[in-house]
Amino acid sequence: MSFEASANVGRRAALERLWASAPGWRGALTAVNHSVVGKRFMLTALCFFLIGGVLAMLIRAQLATPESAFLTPGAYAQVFTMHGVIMMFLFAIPLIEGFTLYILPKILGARDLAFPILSAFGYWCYVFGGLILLAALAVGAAPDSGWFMYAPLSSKPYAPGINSDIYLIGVTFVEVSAVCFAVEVMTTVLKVRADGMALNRMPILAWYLWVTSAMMLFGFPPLILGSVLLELERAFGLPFFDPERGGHPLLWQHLFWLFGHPEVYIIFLPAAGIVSTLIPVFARTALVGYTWIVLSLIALAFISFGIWAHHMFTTGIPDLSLGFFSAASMMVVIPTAVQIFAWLATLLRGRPRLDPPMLYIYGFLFIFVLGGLTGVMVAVIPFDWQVHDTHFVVAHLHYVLVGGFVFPVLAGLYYWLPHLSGRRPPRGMTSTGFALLFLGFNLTFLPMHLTGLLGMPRRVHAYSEGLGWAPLNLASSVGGFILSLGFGLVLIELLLSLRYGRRAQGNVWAATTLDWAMPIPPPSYNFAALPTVRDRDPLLTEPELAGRLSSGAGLLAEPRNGWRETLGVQALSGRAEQVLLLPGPTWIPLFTALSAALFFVSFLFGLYAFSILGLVAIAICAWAWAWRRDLRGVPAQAEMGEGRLATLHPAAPAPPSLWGMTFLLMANGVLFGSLVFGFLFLFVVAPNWPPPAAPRLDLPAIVIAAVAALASAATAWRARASRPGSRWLLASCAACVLLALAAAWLAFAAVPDPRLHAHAAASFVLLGYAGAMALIGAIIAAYAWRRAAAGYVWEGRAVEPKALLQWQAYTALTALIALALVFGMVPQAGL
Amino acid sequence: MARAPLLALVALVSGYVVWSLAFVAVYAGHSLACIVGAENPRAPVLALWALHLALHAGLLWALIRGWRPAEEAVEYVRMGAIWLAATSAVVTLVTGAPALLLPPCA
Repeated sequence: MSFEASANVGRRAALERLWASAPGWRGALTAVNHSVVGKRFMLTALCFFLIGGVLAMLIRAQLATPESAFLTPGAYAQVFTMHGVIMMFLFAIPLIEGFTLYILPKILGARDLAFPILSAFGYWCYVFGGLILLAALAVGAAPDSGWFMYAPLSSKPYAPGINSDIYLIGVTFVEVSAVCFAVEVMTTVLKVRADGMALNRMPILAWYLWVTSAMMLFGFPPLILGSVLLELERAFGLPFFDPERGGHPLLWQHLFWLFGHPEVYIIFLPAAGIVSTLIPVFARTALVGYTWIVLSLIALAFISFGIWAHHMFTTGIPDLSLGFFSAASMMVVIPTAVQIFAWLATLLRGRPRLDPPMLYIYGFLFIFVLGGLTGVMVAVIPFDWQVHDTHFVVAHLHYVLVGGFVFPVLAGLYYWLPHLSGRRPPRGMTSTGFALLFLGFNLTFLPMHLTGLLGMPRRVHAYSEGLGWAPLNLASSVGGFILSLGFGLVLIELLLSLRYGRRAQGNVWAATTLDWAMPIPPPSYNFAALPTVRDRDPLLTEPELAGRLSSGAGLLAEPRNGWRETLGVQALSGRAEQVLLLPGPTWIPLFTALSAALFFVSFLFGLYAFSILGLVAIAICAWAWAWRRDLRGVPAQAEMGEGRLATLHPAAPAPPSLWGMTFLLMANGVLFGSLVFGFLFLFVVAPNWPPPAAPRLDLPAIVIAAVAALASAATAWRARASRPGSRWLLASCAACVLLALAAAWLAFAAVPDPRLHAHAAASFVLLGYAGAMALIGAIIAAYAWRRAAAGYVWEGRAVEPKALLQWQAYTALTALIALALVFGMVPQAGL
Repeated sequence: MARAPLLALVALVSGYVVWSLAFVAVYAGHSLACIVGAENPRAPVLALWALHLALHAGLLWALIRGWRPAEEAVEYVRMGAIWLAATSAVVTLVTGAPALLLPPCA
């Protein structure tokens, strides 16, 4: 072996030691590497998919014949609810998350994500939240009010058991994971890319994943808020959805569908990203209309938030409002169609190969277009009135979700299987598996359009003979079992390929993206040296790139100081400007998620003292999480290779952590905005207003709260501008404590009993929110002060004070809005 | 945080932010007008719609007028912002159009 080759082997071994997870069970619990966490997410999601599939088969077994007694009505309600909950919350979204966490750094030419600990924490939240739901299913206490959990069906008088609480607690826990994921991906795409990878040179999949994560950032908080409000009603009697006491059940529907409709696109877009990635590879030509697709994605992301009420066409909303939503529902078709035409044009321009992934792509195109067309039909209000809550809608949503998600995911699975496992799928079974899936799917769901048109409602556990539904239902059930066989065959094929598949090496499909510029299966550090990108298809213009990087020709090739390094870039141009020092394996994600589990589970069982203990434990874990000792005394700059210098991220003016804080506050702002919407909605629409008693105008406390809110932001601003370790950080902490105390005083002393009326309940929650933000602000300020005192903050390195300023400015703004709403908008008779 | 990239990204989505504002304002304004029993509920809805269309026009004009040659990525984002501002104006036009045709509070 030449000296150079031996040096390369040594360098790669050093990188592997640096980036690999610890061995054994300790490694399994402390891993933060994106490949490990991503694979875990995907594997866990597939396990949930199998459970959800079994539940689907139970549904089809029950409905196969008229007047079936296979399942009791109660059991059937749990089965169809859990089928939806598992498929939406525990399979589809987490699979996307896992796929993204695994693939994103690889296509961006990075070694890991911006916040590896956050991803690992998200995984544990997902697992624990999912386990709560599964445990409930195992003991027969699963949610049974539908995956949408409509109030008042899910309210205490109509659902007195623990079932609905399980949903609200379990799903909220899982949603925490989704918000973490969104912050992670938003930041990573903007800041953690290869040198030279400008926004217009990003692989199209990165655009899809970025837009999806933005949608998650804005889409999930309304559901989290809705779940919190409904749980507060169920646990403590705060009547947000009870019209007798000034609440309104439609508030739940608004909050749910503000999440629920974008959710469909959140599921579809990453799958469409897979399609946009695979079609050019197998058509052997560049993607037609890259820029048009990017623009249509952004348009689609926005418009998809403007059609939530098209799930509420039958709720009595005025015709004109329905007209707005119907028009928006029509408009969302256009950006979707842009993508479909771009794919077709790419196929027409190229010379498509019929490799296994393409079978599923063609299946996707056929099924998804049919689902899209029925989507246009249900966007037409009179038609929707006819088929609302019938099996037509069940058929439509499965054509969209299975066609638009499962088929592209299977295509992606075959495409990236060599990447994941180092082996190719065995030949022979793929076509049979695809045929069973395609035929089984259409046999299951095509007849449902007809049963729906014949008037068969959703969610009924039995139907009478003689309605004309029996043959169609039997066909659907037979189709369902064929579909299951197809999934079984695909699973067997994949398992066989792990053992007997031919070994794959290099760029198996002649792809042009950076994920194939590494050995497969990839090492823990992805790239031995980081590339500089000059083109949208780096492997097309530089086919030998993988070899070059592997031999250490590139950036950050030399491991040093035990640092896990990757590059941070300028968000638009992709010019490398920072070296990011990423954390290694740690127990913190697991402990933080366990603390959160303590909070959620004890809340579920009414053990509120333990819930408070859980919150304290979360705060301690968060402190330990942020307190990275390894960043003490790092120099301001370091060489990144090829004679270039870059700022180490702790000293950079815009490190990823500040972007992360901005995105976190955006999600938080959406949650608060949803709360304000809820307050105003009840104020304007709910019956039994005005409330019997208005909040008492306690002027001294209000003034103290307002002044403390402004002071918290002003002192944080001074702290940022002043020398580190200054008293301004402590002053900011004190102002926050004062604000929290004033908010608590107002909530308990000035607001009437929140159980009496929705206005008091909403006021209580608004003030509680302000107090909670202030408490967190106090902890952040104390943390920043301690960091400064310990020597981590100096003039050119002031991440903590800057992050504090962001938080305090947000806290001050929301506190003032909350005070204005509670004490400035006193409801009076006549409105 | 470096402001230039953030501002460029805000500009990229500004057209659809205006659309979002228009949608919320028109929908909420209409609901409110009906609930308080306004004498001619169509008028405030149309006024809000027209106001936002004017905002779209202003935004588009500002984006086109602000065009300067710059590095490739910046130009890409600016061009995207102009296209998105133009298409969002069309979306506002279409989503508000039912106000011209349907009875306001039926």
